[in-house]
Amino acid sequence: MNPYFLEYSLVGIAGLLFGAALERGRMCFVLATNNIITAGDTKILEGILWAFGISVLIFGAVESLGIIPVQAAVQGVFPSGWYDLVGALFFGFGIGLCGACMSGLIFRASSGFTQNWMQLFGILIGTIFFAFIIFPMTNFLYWILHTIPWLGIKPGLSDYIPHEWFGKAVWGPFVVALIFGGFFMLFGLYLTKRRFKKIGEERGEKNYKEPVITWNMLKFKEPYSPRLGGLLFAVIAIIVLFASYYTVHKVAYLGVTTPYGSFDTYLLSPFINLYNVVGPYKASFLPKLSSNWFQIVPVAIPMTLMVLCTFAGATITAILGGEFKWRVPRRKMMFLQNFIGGVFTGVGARIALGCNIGTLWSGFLMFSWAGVLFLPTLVLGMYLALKFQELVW
Amino acid sequence: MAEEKDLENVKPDETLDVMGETCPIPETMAHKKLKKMSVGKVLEVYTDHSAAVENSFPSMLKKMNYPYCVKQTAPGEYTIKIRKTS
Repeated sequence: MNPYFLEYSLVGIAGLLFGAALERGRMCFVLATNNIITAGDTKILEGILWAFGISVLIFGAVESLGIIPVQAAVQGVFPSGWYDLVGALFFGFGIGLCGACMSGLIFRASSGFTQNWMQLFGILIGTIFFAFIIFPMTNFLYWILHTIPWLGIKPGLSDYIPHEWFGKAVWGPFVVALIFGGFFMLFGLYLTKRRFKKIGEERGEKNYKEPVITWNMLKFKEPYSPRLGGLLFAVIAIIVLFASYYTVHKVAYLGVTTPYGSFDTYLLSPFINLYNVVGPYKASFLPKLSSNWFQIVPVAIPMTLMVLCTFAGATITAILGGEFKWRVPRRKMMFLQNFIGGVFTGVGARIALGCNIGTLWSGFLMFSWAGVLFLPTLVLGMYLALKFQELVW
Repeated sequence: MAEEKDLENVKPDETLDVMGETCPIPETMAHKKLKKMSVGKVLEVYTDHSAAVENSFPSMLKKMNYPYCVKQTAPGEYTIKIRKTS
């Protein structure tokens, strides 16, 4: 069988599953954060921690056992640096304004929320805005910042934490996975236990528990538990990794925003030769990707199919679960808010070379510092957006 | 505070229409409106955001210790009645 056909087929199936997991599990980083800040509720966060923990542990084992050679895994690693911190702040504020992260956006837009379609439009505009305004500026900033050693870029192998910490030891990836993945899993399990205990005390049930999976969830009568959503997330990341390596022998990590940028390029190509416009600016802070941002990838890549199938999967489960309905906000101002939030989201995602999926989650899966750097300013951005909305509305 | 079915037949004193809007707007606006209302009054919220009905509102109202009741009025549409008790 044609390996490319096999890769696209498997990635397409993973996309459908991803959509289902998002929509049924309500997997949204903004929802998780808002619930914690406003009500101290950790239910959605537990699902996200399961997703991160299980997938990181499996990726570490796969690389240490040599099922996928470390050398191949390293080739897919993004370089990390100051732009993760800056991009995540913009991105976090943007998704906070829209009430939906890059994964939450997909399931909400697929359920018929028109304001999230406006967010998507804002992301496309923000991506173009980045290319013409921010990209040349960040390129210039690089030349200033790279003189400070700790802000410098460490491309390639040196950004792979197992090599940084343990040299070429084969057990390196698994030990790093145990540290990061083990922390996510233990923290997730602790939060679940604490939540069950609290609900049990309120209801007078000593051994209160919520099932991870029930028949009603499978029959679309009730949403998935976020922990089931998290488990499916991990399965999908593993499908994408194996599908890419065993078909075209190039490791790919899950990502959502790159196809948006490619789609922009595709739409604008009949009108503007973007290469000529942006070409003179050398993206020296993206040493592993390209010397030109618009040349990163063509539009017809597996991840584009993945995103389209994710939308399709989320729409199908929304219809099956009786959740699909075109929803227009009563206050039309929300369209403007979502557009502005979308622009911030698009700009932030491009500065940080990805979103909460491609840079945060996949950053941990790559064992690079990208995820660690992305997280604190992402949370800060979302927090600021929540406080801003509390003030305005 | 758990769901209180008795609230179903109570006439609301205030209403809040956040149809078509997603988190955190529904709960943020409800929270602000409840703050301004006097104790004993009932707020009725119209929303079509399932995640808010399943997660955000119950958690927030449990924390505030306000009784509430949720009613599905049409597929994917809900009204939430909340009584301000303190």
